[in-house]
Amino acid sequence: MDNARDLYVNPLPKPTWHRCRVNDARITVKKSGVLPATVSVSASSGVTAKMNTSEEDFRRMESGMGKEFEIYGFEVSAAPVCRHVPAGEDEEIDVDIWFDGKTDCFNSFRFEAEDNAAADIYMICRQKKQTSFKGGLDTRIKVGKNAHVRLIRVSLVKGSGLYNNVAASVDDGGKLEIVNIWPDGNEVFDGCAIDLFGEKSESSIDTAYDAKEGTKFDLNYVARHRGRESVCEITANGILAKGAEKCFRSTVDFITGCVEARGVENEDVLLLDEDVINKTVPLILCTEENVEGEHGATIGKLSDEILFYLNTRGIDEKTAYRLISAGRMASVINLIPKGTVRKEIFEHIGSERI
Amino acid sequence: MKEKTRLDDVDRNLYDFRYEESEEDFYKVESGLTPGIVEQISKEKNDPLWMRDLRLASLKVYEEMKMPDWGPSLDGLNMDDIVTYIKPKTEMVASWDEVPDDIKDTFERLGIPKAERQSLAGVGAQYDSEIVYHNIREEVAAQGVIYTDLESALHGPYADMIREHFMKLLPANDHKFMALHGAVWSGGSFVYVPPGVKVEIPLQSYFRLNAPGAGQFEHTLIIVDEGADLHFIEGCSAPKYNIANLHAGAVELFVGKNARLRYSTIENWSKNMYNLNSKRALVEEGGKMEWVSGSFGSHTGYLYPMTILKGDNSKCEFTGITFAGAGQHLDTRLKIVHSGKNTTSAVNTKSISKSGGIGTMRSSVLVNPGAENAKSTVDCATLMLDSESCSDTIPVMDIRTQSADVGHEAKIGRISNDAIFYLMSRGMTEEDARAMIVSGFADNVSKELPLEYAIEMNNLIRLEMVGSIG
Repeated sequence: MDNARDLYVNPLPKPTWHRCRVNDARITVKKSGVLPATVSVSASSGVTAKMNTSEEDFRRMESGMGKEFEIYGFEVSAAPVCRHVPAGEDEEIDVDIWFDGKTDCFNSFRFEAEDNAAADIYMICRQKKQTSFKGGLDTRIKVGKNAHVRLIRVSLVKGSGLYNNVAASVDDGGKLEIVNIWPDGNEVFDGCAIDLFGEKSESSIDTAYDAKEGTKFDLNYVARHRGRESVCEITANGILAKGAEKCFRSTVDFITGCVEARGVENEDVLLLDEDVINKTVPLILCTEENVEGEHGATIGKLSDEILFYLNTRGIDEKTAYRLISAGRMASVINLIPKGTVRKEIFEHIGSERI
Repeated sequence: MKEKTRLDDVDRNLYDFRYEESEEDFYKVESGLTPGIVEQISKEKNDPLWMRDLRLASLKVYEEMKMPDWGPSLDGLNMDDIVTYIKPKTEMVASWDEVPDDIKDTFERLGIPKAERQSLAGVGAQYDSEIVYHNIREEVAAQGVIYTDLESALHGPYADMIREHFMKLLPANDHKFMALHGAVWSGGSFVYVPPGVKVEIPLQSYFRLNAPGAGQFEHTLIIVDEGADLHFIEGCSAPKYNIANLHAGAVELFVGKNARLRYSTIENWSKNMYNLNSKRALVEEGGKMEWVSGSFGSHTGYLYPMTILKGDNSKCEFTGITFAGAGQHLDTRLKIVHSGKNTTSAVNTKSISKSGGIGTMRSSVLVNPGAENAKSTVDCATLMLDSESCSDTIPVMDIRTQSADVGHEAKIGRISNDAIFYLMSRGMTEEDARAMIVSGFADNVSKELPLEYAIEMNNLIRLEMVGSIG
């Protein structure tokens, strides 16, 4: 019996011409035989597994990778790992995800930070063997009033497929910062959707990716502004090498009532070789008059000015590209507060790019 | 309450005006779309055999293709209700005196003969499905410039050239409404500018759709040969009816080596119109294509002029504005394909949404492999005038060569209260202040148009801004 199942993921909130082939992406997953990866969670005693939000409420949240992936995840995932940060507490949660490298895996995570809480959540994917497998993650987060959550997502797996889905909501005055570091991966599909329903709620998504030869990255980030004076900033810094393919979709959606909301999208892509495919799809959707939305994208080779500057200091073109590539990754890696995590990432990429 | 006076000189009746007409004034086919109707149109137009075959093949493609499912709703458009061919009972002439009085008076009210006398090198005027007037200044014709209706050209010395180019840039299988166009096209203009000829003043075609429930499917084919230069202006309008009208024209533009073509459009279809028009330009080495576009009318618009920068060092500039008011969903903007080396494109677009109007700015920039050193800059700005309206920006950049340099910027915002306060403190009413700021926002388009057309565009903006307070 065929155990393969196709899913359409990372849908654009509003589609465009089918010929552009950006309205969604297709992945193939296993119907059965999907197991949980080994997960270890460490946090101080203040963090509990008892949640205020029901699983049904978490499942109702809209996610970045879309309905088909959500339903699949609900079907194949074991019970989610849940962590609750009580009101007023400031906690750190380390989630280590180990793929055994033999089987396809799927894990779910639920986090909630109560009012005035703060949490740094580190989700780091590693693999025991460098083999080809597919790992799926479904993460849902609720950020309470004036709470502040930093979600750091890092994948140190190679030669694999990583499907990483996030749904989040932010209450009044709350803040959610997401930092994504994708220095490797054969096939990375990542979707984040953040619902800024609280007044003065804030969010940011900062992503660094290094699409090496023959790899494929497909990213879909959505910020829905519902609360007054809500703010979001979506930034991606990437590098594409020979034969790599990347599609970056980002959407700032201003919904009626989000008076004085501000949303910014930015992408910088450095193309290292000729035969790359770079797709950038930055949407601004708006049904509210009193908002400010901005998008900027810069795609291509290194500017002649930068090259000339580096050449005059004795750096040849090839080294200049390596230097700038590393710098782009580093600019996002340095947003990670914890030094040991930064060090591990730099060590992981160091032998290849720096 | 004091009536506004500055708007008194802008008369919407200018566009909504129409003479009462009877069935005897026209020859028309039955509504709907069948092979019989397509053959009837082909026979009526005395098509050469290849054109008849093209029409029937297009109809087959139309029947097989699906309706677009990604854009504005087309639920209100029922092809069974659309009359695809209506011919006024007059032949094409080259003198306004020979045009029947009611048709002539319609174009007089639209200012076409006056514009021809003052500032144009030639005019084509289409009424429903047929060109009723075509003329070109003698001195321009003496340079070898051909400007005539497409049907006449199909039977003249340029027949082979037309066959070589017709629906080659926009084939029937491009999309469903291009297939429809291929089946029932009628009217439109053919322009050929010989090598090295620079036409100093613009040519203009004006399309008037007067009949309720009708479709207009004109085809414009322009070939600007090596080193030549042309500015072509397209205008269109229709009176408003309570039933849907359809415009599915096609514009194919061939810009030769080191040639330049500027194509300007002020689109002011009535607000019951489904405007599903297609425009595409192919630019050879060193050539330059310039689009200037103002979209104000239509109930629903799908309008994405496309430029293929085929030749090395070819260029494209696009300057456009869309104004979506009450009941309108205007889905506009552009596509650019960079194929040659060292090609450049510069896009500067504005969008205004008001009174529940929906404006969608959709774009696509494709840099193909081998398009070394391609440069593209796209700048989109959107002004929201209230919270009933909707404005979406949906760009796609697809870059497949390392040496490309592509930049994209989009901004959305509102009219600043400070700016309104400043103007009101100098004696302007709030409505006038808003209209002035919106006109300023549209300045990038109006300054690219000949003066008479810039004035018309500003008038249209002022018309749209009436009642913009409260």
